[in-house]
Amino acid sequence: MTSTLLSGRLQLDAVSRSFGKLKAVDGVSLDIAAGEFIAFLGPSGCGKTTLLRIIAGFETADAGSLLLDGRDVAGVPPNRRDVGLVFQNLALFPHLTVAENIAFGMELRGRPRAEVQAKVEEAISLVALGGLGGRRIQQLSGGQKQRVALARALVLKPSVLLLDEPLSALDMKLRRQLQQELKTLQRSTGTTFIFVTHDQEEALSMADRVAVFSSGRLEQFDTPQMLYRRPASRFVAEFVGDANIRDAGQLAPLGIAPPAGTLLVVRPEDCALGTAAEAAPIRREGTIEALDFVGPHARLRLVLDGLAEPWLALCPGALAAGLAPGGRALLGFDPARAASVPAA
Amino acid sequence: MRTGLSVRTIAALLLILLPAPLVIVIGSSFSPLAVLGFPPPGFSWRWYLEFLRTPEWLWAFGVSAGIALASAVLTTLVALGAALALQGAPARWRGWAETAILAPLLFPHAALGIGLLGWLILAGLNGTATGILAAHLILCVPFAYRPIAVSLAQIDTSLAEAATILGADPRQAFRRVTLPLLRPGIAAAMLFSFIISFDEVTVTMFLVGPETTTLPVSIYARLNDSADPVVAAISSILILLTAGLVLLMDWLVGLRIFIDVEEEGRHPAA
Amino acid sequence: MNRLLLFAPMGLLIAGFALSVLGLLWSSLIHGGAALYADLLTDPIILRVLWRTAWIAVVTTGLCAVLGYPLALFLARSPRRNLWLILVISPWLVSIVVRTFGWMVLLGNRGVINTSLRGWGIIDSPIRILFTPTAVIIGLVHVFIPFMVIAILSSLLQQDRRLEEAGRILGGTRWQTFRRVTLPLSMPGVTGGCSLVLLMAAGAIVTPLLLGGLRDRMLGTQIYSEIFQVYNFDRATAMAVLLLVLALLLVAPLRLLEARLRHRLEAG
Repeated sequence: MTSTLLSGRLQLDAVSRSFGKLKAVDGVSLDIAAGEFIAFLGPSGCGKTTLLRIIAGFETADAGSLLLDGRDVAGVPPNRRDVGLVFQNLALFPHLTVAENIAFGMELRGRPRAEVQAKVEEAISLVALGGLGGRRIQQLSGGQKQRVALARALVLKPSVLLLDEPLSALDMKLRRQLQQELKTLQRSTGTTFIFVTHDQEEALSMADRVAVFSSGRLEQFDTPQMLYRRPASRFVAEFVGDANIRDAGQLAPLGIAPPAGTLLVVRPEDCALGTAAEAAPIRREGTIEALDFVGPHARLRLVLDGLAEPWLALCPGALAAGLAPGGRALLGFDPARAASVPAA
Repeated sequence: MRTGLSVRTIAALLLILLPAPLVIVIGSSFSPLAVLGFPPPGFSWRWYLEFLRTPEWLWAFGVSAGIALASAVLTTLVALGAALALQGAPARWRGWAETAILAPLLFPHAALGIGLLGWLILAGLNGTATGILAAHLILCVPFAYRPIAVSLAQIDTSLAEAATILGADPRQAFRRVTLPLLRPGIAAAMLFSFIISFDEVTVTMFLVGPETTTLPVSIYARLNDSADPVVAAISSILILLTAGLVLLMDWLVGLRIFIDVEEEGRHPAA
Repeated sequence: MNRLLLFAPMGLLIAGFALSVLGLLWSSLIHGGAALYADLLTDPIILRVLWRTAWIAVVTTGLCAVLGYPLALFLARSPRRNLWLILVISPWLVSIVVRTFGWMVLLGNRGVINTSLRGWGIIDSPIRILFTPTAVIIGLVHVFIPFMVIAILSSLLQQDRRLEEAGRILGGTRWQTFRRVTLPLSMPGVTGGCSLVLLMAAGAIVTPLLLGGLRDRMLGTQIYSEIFQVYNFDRATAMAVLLLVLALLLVAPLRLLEARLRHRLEAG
């Protein structure tokens, strides 16, 4: 169970798993390099957790293969895979202290007491829990529990660490903070992280590459920028960020003709308003239907003249420009900057 | 929301009346005279000494304690095995199995006593400690099963998985995680089973013999003839023993387990 | 495979229980036969015992429910529930024979109640309570009420307290809220407790024998003396089967009610 610099490569080839008629994981192939921070993103029930449990060894794939550092791990039980897992509910042992929780795995491996103690100390300070080793789990706050779960998994130096929505129970502020810490931790340990989440912002901000799932299938596996700028499917375009997605019929009144069988994806922040819109290649006036103030900018919904579907736009200076619901505004965008996805 | 006056009055009355007969028994056991009465006309340990000097009483106490201890340990082991076997089993099987396990609770004890007597006679075990123990195992096992099943259901399944991913094989995961977390349930099962066995009389009275009888059945037999203070003394010992075990249970597990267990009993397959 | 092995000892105990039930049916139905039942069911003494068993069990159950519910409600709301629970659970777990003995001391002609009443000059001659059905019912209620209290308490504690608060905020008085929210939601506990008490009261032996004496017998005591005084095993098993049938008949309406309640609660 030692980790070298090169360990932690994970190759999935056409992995499938069905429960009765439901195809929870449907022919997923992924090649994850050692030391990458990967996010599995998708709505609940999309199969990301099942895939995680297959990688951990709690579920077996019906078809396909799973290679860890080139070795097929199909028949290897979870306790002998070189994989760590941080559970969604953390699954900390309530009958043990913080230090005992962290020492658990090393004791199973029969490491000498002195080494265990040293490693536990090291892990405790790594996750900034100094002085809490003797605490009971019930005495910890949500964020502290989180860190114990991380330390317990990382102290074994697994080549791959799986994290199953570990931050979902925390409030927004603590969540942001722990996201940062996780990222730093991942860089410093060089461990391959696979982070499951249904929060697209979390996935985009943390991961080197994101795998987007829908109904058991892999929709796209790419960097956050590519995912956002060049979505591979309508699902990805809609799930990652907001988007105005239009077909040829809806675009015709604006004088745009996208290639047959494709949809145009215009991000709200690519839509300019007012004077800024005057230079844009495509322009149309409309009535402001709704305006939500969200701090740094405002989110607007406009009904453009002659078009049925309302458009979404993000405007930093909307309030200063005196825009208000019921008022008129000019919206403009550049179709060359927009992405296109297959219509089907 | 507070409860109304009438509710509180009835509750207070019952909370006095429930322990009252037991307090009276304890009080009358200190009588220096041979007649039962409350309040006792004086104070003496006379009848406790009488109990300690009578080999038949001591023997019955020993038999009861031995059977209760054996049935506490055995039913707990049996119940633990069954609860583990049923954990994660298909809901339908589990429902049937639990109905079968809990069935003796819903069977009139007079009928159960005579039914047990029937086959114990055939096996030549009527009137023996083995026969009584066999009957007590059947009677007590539902009481051992429910706290264990409740505790097991309360343990998050991801804890065993966490142990596994940290390197434990199934046996280590059970020994180091599941078993320690089951401890309250196991303690409750043993105490519950011990108390039920030690106090059981309705079924046991069909199964005792001239040589082997239990303490509650001996008390019953004596009461049929005469109610004298030695019975009060022995009863007081039983009362204090039971109360002590209840307090022990409260301290070890909390009395809430009695209520949780009831819930489990009403929806066996849930 | 592993599962079967773990379950095997429990299987053995279940088999032991099943054997008792089957033995009961065998020795009364096959060995004894229909003549035995015909004999029993035409015996006026047995019919009277059956009737007495039924009404004593029903009255006991009713009293347990009517008295037990307020106590359960009190326990559910009390901040010091654990303390009061000790007062309910300790007597509950003390041997039936000991508790019945306590009532003998209390209710006898020279018992605590008669002595005090006479001492206070309220009565001249002792009132006869011991060896009457009243004594039996008092004893049985005392013995079985904790079962009822625990059953009702468990269903009360399971209830979401906010439902009650919702009832109040919607304009219900305390009584209306109780009647239309709390009580209906706790009915599964009441019916469950009633089934249990009915079954146990119908099959009681020790309390009716010690507090009811030899005249006013119940089915359980009749079975006991059939075996140990008359030595007629077959007849005793036939009576045990009658007891089973009686118990089922008594509990059946409750079970139906419970099924309907559960259906309603789960559908809603």
